[in-house]
Amino acid sequence: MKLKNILFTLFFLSIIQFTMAQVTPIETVTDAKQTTYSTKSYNNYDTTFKNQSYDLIRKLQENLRLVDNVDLTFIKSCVLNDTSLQNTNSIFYVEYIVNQNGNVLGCRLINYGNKVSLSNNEVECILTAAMNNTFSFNNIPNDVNDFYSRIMKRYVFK
Amino acid sequence: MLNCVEVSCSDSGGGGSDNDDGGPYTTDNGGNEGIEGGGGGGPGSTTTSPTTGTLPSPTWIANELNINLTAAQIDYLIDYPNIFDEVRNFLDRNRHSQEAEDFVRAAIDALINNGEVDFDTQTIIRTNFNTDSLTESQKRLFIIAKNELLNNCLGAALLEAVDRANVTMGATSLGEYNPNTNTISFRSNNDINSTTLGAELMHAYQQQLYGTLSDIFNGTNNVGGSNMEFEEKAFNIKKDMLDIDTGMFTYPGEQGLTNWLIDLDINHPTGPIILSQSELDGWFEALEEFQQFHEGNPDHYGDPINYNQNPDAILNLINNVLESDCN
Repeated sequence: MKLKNILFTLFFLSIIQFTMAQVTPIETVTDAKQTTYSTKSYNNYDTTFKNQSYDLIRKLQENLRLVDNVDLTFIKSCVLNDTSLQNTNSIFYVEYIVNQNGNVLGCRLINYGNKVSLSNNEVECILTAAMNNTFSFNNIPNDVNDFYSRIMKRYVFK
Repeated sequence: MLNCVEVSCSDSGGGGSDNDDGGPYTTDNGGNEGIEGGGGGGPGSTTTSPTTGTLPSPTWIANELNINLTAAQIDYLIDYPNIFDEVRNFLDRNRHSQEAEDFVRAAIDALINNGEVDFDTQTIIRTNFNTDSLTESQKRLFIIAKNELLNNCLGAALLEAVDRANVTMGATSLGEYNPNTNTISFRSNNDINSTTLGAELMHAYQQQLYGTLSDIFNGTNNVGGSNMEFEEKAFNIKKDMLDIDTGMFTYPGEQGLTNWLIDLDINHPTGPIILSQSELDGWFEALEEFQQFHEGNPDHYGDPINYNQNPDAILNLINNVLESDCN
């Protein structure tokens, strides 16, 4: 019985680890203006988003309204022990690709200005939390069933 | 953040009851003398009238405030006791300085002309939207949309810049602006929202500033049509960026514009912004991305670019925000 419990716990932990590991590996791109950390799936979903028909994109642009209850304070929690970030006024953007249900399919963190550097653990913590966010929409056009949209949110670290 | 004191705010469904149809001073049958805020539509503080059972006289108003006002201004205060209270409190707070008295006179004039006033930040927004052709429910939606814009610093700057427009229904797309008649129109009630209103007001401001929209939209010379639509997108993206807690959609063809606005935000924390040549080049690069994405489509998004048309309208608005204490 005890062994069974241990095996179940190990199995359960491995599932959690697998789920958590979805955001890694992280792809990092740095240029003079910014550093971007993307989940592995981000670029594929971004391409899918951009490849939607012109008519659909225009229809979404004209009608779709975002209901946003996402709070980015998890960024602060993820870098809580990082004193190098204190009082830097660093601006972070999180960009999400979401489906018609508001579920996040991929996301990326953009560190504008490269004022600070983030550790791998910090980035992973942020992207993992961001992947668990959900959005909802108002005014979805009647004749549209499936679509992707891209949402950007700003967070100023003070 | 502006918190407007607006004559028509009271019928916006935002918590106040209708009180713009007449004098909301209430006269108590029991002989209580008083000027009271109208039915929840105003601040509702109470002052004492010198006359029993009758409306306060112009002389009483003038004496109570101890300021020179025109007959029209006094009549307005008689009709709107909540504004009277605001004025009296404002004058008391500012010890009846000359500046405060001047502000009060200008504020009442603006309110008479359907403008908005924030006594806390000493802001007057003179707007005059002719909404006569809208139904009451459409007027309410319009006021809600306008107030949403007012609660955004860039939106407030735009409302301050555009002081006059007609508002109608009957658009074939969700919102349209006719530069010949200075008319904003909406397609349906559902389209009367701050995003559509902001977009069409931006075109009204462009017409005010550049004066070229008649030619572009009438099809006599559509060079620069993409500039106008692109700059309108810049307004709504920047407006959303200022709402720090709210996410915004980013669409294909506008990625470069979003990045350009973010760079501007980071590189110019204070104003006024004067664009460098590289920033101007960046604007036109982003505009090319936008124009190419929309090229060949029947609206003005894909019109040829006018490389001599700088983004003065959006820059003016951003500078107005940076130079104000709005945040």
